[in-house]
Amino acid sequence: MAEQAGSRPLRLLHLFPTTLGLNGESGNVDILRRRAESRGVPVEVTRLEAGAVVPAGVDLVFIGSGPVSAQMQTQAAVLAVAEPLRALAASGVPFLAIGAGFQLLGQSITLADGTGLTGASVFPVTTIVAGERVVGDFVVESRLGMLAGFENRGSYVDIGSNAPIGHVVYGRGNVAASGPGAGASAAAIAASGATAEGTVLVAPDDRVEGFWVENLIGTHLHGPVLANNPALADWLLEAALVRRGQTLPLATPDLVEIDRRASEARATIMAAPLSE
Amino acid sequence: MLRVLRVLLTIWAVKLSALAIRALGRPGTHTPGLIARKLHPGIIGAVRHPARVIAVTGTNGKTTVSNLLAEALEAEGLRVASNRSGSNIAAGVATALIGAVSWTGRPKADIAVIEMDERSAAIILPGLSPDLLVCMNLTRDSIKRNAHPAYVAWIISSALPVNTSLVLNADDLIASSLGSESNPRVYFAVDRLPTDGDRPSGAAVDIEICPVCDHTLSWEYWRFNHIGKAYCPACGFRSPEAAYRARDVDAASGRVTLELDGQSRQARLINDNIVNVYNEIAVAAVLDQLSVPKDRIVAAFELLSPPTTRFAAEVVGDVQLVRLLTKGLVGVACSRAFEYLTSFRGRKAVVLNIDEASERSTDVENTAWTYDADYEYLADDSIAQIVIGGARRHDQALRLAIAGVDPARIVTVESETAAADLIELDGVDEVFNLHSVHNALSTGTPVQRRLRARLEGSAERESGAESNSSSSAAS
Repeated sequence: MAEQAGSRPLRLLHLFPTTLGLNGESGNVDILRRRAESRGVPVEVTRLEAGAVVPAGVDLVFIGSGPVSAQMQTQAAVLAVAEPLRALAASGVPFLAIGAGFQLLGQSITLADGTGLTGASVFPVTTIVAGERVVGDFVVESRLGMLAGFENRGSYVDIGSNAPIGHVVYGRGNVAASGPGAGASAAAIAASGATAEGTVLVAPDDRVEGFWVENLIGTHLHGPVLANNPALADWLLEAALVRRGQTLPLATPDLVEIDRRASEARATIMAAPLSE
Repeated sequence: MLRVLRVLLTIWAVKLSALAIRALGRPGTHTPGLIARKLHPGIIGAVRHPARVIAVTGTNGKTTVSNLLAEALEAEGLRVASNRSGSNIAAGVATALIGAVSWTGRPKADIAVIEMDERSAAIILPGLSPDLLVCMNLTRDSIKRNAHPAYVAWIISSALPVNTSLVLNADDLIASSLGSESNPRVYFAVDRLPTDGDRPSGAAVDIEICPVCDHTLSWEYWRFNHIGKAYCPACGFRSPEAAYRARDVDAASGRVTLELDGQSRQARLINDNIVNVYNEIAVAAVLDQLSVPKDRIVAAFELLSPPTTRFAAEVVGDVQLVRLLTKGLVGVACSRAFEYLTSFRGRKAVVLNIDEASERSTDVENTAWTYDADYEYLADDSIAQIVIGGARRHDQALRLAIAGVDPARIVTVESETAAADLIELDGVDEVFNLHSVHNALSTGTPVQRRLRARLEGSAERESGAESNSSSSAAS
C-alpha cells in the first residue's frame, strides 16, 4: 500500500549549479520544489559543487546547461562523482539532464578541435560538437504530449539504438553524426517543410530529440523545460516518489493555474514556431 | 597622403549621408556609421579624436552613466562628443566620432564620452583607444548573444589598450578583474547597506568561488547576484578596496555621502534605486579622475537626473506614476527594478511590457532569462494588479504564477500599449510602467502618456471610475 508522501523530504541533488547554471536552468529546480511543496511534499535541495561528495538518500538528480568553457571546467569534477551517479541511476533514481550537463553525463564529448572529453557514462550517449548552431523554438512530441521550449545548440548527440524523448515536430533534435538526418542544419530544417504557418507540421523525417530510458531523461529543451512542460516535472516527481513506495498527491489549485498558464505559453510557441 | 584622403572622403560621405537622413526627419546615428565602416573599416581609429576619450561599458548602467557624464562635463564648459542619442555599437561610435570633427577632420570637441556595447569591445576598443574606461558591472545578459559574463570580460580585456586607465566596480568581482597589470585603475563601490546580507540569495549568481583558489567565497556584504564585497577564507583573496565609495544612502532625505579619494562630501542622491547609487559614485569617480574639483562634482549632482527613458516619476492627482526601465533578458536588471518597485509604500498597479519579443512573427527570443530574475518580488501584497502586454505575455504570466503571484492579480493583453487601458486605477496609490530598452520609445512612452491621461481624467472627475477604455492598436 502506498505510503502518504511527506514523511521525509524529497532529496533533490542539483549538480554543479555554478558552472552549469545558464539559460535559467535553476528554474527547473525551483519548479520541482514548488510542485512538490504545494502538494505537501517537503523538498531538500543539495547544490553539489566541485570537490563535494554525493550525499546519501538522493531521490532525484538535476544537471543544467552551460557553455563549452564550463563543460571543460566541470569535466574533472563530474568524473570525480561519476561512480556514485551511475549507482544512483542503476537504482532507478530519476535524472533530468539538460544540454551541456546531459553531454557531460554521457560517455564522451568530441570538441570542435577534435579534443575528446570523457563523460560520466550515466547516459549511453556520445556528443560531437560540430555543424551549424541551431537557435530557435523547439517542439517535441513525447509520451506526455507536446513539449515546447527553446533549442540552442551546436552539437550532435548520438543515442545509439536507445529511446529518445520523442519525435521532433519543430527544431533539429539529436541528429546523430552518422545515420538518418546526419548533417542537418537550420537551413535543411527550413527546407524540410518543418517550418509551419499557423499550425504545427510534423517534421517529415525521423528526427528525434533527447534520451528517455526508464528514469533517465536527457534533452536540449530549454525554457527552462519544466516551466513550459509541467507534465514532465510531475513525471519526475512521481518517479522519485514511487521509488520510495509513495505517490504524488493531486495538483493543488495554484498548480492547476500554473498549468493553465504553461499551456498558453506552449500554445504561443506551437502556433508559429520560429528559428534563426 | 592617400591614407589621409581616404579618411577625409569617409568623413565627407558620413556627414553628407547624415544630412540627407536628417532631412528625412530621422536621427541618422547608425546608418552613417555603417557607411563609414564600409568605406574605411578602421575609421574609429583613423579619425582624429578629441583630446580626451572616455568609454563607458558594462551590462547595466552604461547609458545612464554616459548621459550623466556628458551633461556634467558640458556644465563644466567642455564641448562634449557623445553617442548618447545614438547606438552603442561600432556604427554608432563611428557616427559620434565623425560628428565631432570638422569637414577637414579637425576635432571640434574637447572630450568624447562614448557608451560602448560590451560585446562590441573587440571592434571598438583598439581604434577608440580610450584614456579611461568605466565598467559598471558584468552580469548575465541575453543568453543567445552574450554566452556568460566571464566570457564578455575576456572579450573586453583582450581588446583593451595597455595604457587605458580603468574605473571599475569593486563590488563586482568579474568587472573588477578587467585589464592587466599595465592598466592603471581605481575602483568605486557602495558601502554596506542595511538591506545587504552576508551570503548570496536570488536566482542568478555568476561567481560563488574564489577566482584564485576555487574555495567558496565569504561575503562582508552581499547585495544581489554576484554584487557585494567578498573575501576568500582559504587564500586571503579579497574584493579590491575602493577609493570612491557611496555610504549612508538615505532615500528619505535624498542625500548620500560620497567618499572621493580620501575626502568626504555630502551630495544629493540623484535617485534612490541602488543601480543609480552605483551610477552616481561611478560618475563622481570619473569626474574626480578628470580633475574636476570635488565641490563642483557635488554641485553637479544637484541638477543631474537619470534619463527619463530610464526612470521618471510624476504625481498626477494623488497618484504617483513611475516609469522604470526593466531590461528584459537581463535577470539582474529586472530583479533590481522589481526590488525598487516594492520599496514604494502604497497600493500598486503595474504595467509589465518586458518580454523582449516585439513581434512573435519575427523575434526569435527565448524567455529562459525570466528564471534568472527574482519575479518573487512581484508577489508582494501591495501589488493589486499586474497587466502584461506583448507577444510572450503568457510566458511572463507563467513566470509570475510560479513566483507565487495571486492569479487573480494577473491580466494579459496582446497589445503592449493597451495594457495601459486595463489598469484599474481605483484605490491605487502608485502606477508603474515597466518596459525594456527596445520598446522604451515605441510602447513605453505611449503607455506613460495614456496612464497620465487616464489619471488626469480621474483626478478631474474626483471619483476615478472610468467606464470604458479605448483600445487602439499597439504602435
